[in-house]
Amino acid sequence: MNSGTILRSVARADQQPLVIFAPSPAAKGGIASYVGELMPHLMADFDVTLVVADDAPLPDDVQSGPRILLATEFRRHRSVFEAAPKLYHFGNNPAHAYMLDLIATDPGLVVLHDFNLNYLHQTATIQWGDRERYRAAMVREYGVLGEENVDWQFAREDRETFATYEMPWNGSVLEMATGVIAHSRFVQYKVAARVPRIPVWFVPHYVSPLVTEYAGMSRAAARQLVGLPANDFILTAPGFVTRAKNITMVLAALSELRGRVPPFRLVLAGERRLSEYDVAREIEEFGQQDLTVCTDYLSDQRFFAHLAAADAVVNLRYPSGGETSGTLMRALGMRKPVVVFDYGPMGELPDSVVHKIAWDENAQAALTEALQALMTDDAAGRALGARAAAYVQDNCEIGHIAGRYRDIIRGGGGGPSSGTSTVRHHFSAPGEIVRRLARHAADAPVAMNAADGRIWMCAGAPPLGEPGRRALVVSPRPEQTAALLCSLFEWRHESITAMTPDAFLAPDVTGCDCKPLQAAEFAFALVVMAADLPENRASLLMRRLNLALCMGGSLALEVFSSLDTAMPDMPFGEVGLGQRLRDAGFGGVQALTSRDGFMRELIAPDDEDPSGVRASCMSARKTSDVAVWRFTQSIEGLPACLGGRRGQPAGLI
Amino acid sequence: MVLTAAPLSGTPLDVLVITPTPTHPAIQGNRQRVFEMCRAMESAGADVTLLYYATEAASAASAREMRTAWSRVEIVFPRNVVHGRSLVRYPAIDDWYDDEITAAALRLCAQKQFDVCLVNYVWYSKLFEYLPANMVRVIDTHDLFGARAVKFAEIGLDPAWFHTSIEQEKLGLDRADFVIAIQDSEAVELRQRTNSAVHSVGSLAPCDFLPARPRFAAERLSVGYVGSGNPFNAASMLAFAGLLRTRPHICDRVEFLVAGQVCNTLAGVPHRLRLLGVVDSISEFYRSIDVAINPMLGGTGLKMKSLEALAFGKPLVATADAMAGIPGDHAGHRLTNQTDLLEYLVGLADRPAGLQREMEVARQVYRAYRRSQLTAFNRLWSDIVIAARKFASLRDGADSNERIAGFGR
Repeated sequence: MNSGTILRSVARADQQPLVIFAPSPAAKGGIASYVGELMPHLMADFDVTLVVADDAPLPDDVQSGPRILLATEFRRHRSVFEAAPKLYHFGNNPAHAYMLDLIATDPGLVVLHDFNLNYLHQTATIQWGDRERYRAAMVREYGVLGEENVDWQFAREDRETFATYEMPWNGSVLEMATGVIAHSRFVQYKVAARVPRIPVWFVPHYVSPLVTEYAGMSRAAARQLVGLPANDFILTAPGFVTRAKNITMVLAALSELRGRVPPFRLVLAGERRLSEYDVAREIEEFGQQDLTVCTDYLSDQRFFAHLAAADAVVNLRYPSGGETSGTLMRALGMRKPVVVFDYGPMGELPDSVVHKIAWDENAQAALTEALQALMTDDAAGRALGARAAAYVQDNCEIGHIAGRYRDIIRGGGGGPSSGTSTVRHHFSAPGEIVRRLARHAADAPVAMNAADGRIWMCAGAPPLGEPGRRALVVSPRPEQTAALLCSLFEWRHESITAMTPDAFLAPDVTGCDCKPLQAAEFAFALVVMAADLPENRASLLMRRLNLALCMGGSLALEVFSSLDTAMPDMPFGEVGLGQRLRDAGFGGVQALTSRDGFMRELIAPDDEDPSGVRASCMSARKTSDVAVWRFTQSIEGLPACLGGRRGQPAGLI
Repeated sequence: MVLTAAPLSGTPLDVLVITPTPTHPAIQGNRQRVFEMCRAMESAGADVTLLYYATEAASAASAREMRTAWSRVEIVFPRNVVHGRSLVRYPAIDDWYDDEITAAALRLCAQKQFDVCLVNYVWYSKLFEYLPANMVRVIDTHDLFGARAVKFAEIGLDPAWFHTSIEQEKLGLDRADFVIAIQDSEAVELRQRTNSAVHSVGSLAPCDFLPARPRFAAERLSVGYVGSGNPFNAASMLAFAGLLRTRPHICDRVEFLVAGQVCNTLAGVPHRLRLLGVVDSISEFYRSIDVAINPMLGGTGLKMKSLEALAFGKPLVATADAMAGIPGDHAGHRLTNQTDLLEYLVGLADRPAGLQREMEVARQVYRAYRRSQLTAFNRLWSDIVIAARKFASLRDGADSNERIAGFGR
């Protein structure tokens, strides 16, 4: 499609334009179905352009659907859609990988189908062999934790399954979002905590309109259609067969119940992912081959037929990536009694609507007991299914949900980004600093000596000041140090907050105007202080610096200590300073020495390094909000290198 | 206090520096030299443009570092250059010159009027014949290259790099207004070889003194050497490794760490050294040792490795050859041979309290050395500035008779 076609078709529409980024409705998967079912409702209110991945399958019927653009076509013509609100459907799978770059240039409203986007990022980077991008993204999101996790994975040449759940890796998406729609309170609260400055709406997952179509299908007819026995109890686990759905526990329960309850069958009604989870082996281990049916991928018609055929449904998700199950909603709509874990989004459903099992050490026994009850008390199961259907009809009707979308989008939810962007700094080469000093020739030596620190100014560690940016100066002589920063690096005096280390480490930190410092207030921090800071104060300092700086903010940290100190690896000493900075969420850590800067003695001939004092300087940028405090007590009598950051071992001479 | 603006005392000099070695990373003595001289000129107010004639591989990272460090960096690659040998025993002075340097320098001169051109190494001095007459011409020699083969012959080696005759070297040196020797003894020699003004300016690296390494009572003395793979380093360390093999008991009390490209040479012979190869951080290496050594035998030029150890304030035990050009009379800095050097180390291992004294000596020696070199640099720079001001009045294309010859003579 050329740009003329796009312009004409956009101009033809008299509705408000809306650009939706989502998997193609023709693709497999719950989110694709969600987008496809919601699309007619949104098209009634908006002139929709759907942007799909370049390799996405396209629907056969392109006449009745939205205007479809491939991602590269959208990039080429993005100026046409500049003013249009954008709606991104993000889920934790490769179908969404193309959106990661697009949301950075075209921010919009994000529908977060999964809170955890770790697997998505992996598929966009490491699975294409792009280890460096993977590492950089992990460091940005998780600081040193991310870096060490990546190193661990690379060393083992293995994917870290723990990280997949414990590191949701959604910051780069959420920070660019203009607003977020969550399908559960569970996700809503987590998002609000992660990006407190943007609105987060709770919009329940709708129940599929196909439910109405299939609700009338009788159990017997359905069983005949899909080839299941007419009289056995049918327990169905719908959707992709993954380890997180805890099929193992179901198999264990059924194995225990076998012979004690009426005849049953277990139906795994979804696609298996054998590379991730070999369910067949587990079925064999529990001796359930004869009673278990694996359907693999199902069309909508056969999927609903399986739901209609079921006596009960299990949807046991743990751990959860924060997803709300579309198949669960369909099962509820089909009047099925469903067993879930009382955890995450599923735990938010009313107790009267699903059978909840606490996720604790008794979960297996409780599941066995619940399944036994459902298999032996048909009336109770039917009553639970009836309440479930009534609940979703009252609360999750698609027209009502589409109305919520319409109101949010029209209210500006997909409007201009309020997300954060990384600061770009400009630095001076030492030669330029000398030329600036030359303009102040008479006062230069005095001003240089009055300020704290030596290396930061000679090596050009501070970025140049720019309008709207603020700098923080923490040093024993803050005013004099700030004055030199103004003179040499073009910061305006009123844009600098200067204070002593004690003031910065006080319980209440206030700026010059006596107001508390704001998080992410500063684009640059210059810190000059003695290295003999106690460990607890050092860790507090690093956490506060992380908090004070905006993402991408620059830090120049110069520490000084006596050359003859008895403890060279003191808590804030230069030996561990680089690692301490990385732990505190800083990247691009660079050690600067007196060799890197201009030669002070050639500007101020009487100026010589103070004897007996060693100074060292680090420059870094804030790359993560995560600041970690790592401290290992050294073991008495063993060399210091076996310990942590401090500790003077016995036997030193 | 806030600095108050003062009128400029004079426009800064624009300096074009030609170097066949990158300034980053500074893993070799000659790279450090180029870096320090450029930084010193900048500190004196010059605006330095670096023309790197890429005879050594430079990574994208090192090119990036160079661009960050200097106002302007241009890189020109050798093209179809063949290192000629016009004379029977030596290359002639211009045999290694590449016209690509001329083309690149003239391109830069067309964009900006330079006051000074500093060429590193005498065999690139041919460039001066193409530059405008009103530019001050400076050669930083790094070493003596006339009759260099004789020095190498003393240790049974052929000169691996450029060398020429004294007469050819003189041809190159005479093209300059100022010639920089790296140490006083070479300045004396160069004054015999050229009519140009000769200044002696050694290492200008700032003091970067490290604290002493914490030691345990029963710990071995940690002794370190870091060096490039140049023939004198290699020959000296091979001899040292051989000597150590004859006295293995010393290794019970002393651990020898060796870093740098010299490890490649040692890897093929039996030894009792711990080879670290090229290390990420030179300061971390010095931080990890108690004593630095330089067991050099013979050699030419200034021994940057000795100065580097002293600049880090490390106790240094070195032969007299390794301390050539570095004033001082400390016994540990003037050892006559490697055997004496080993004995001195054993003495330190037996008396670790002496390390403190050695460290103080190292700091004192380096402070005094640096002070004298800064003074020497200031003298040189003053002469260059005076010459530049005078030459500025010359017309472009003026012949050499109009130039003021013999500065500083």
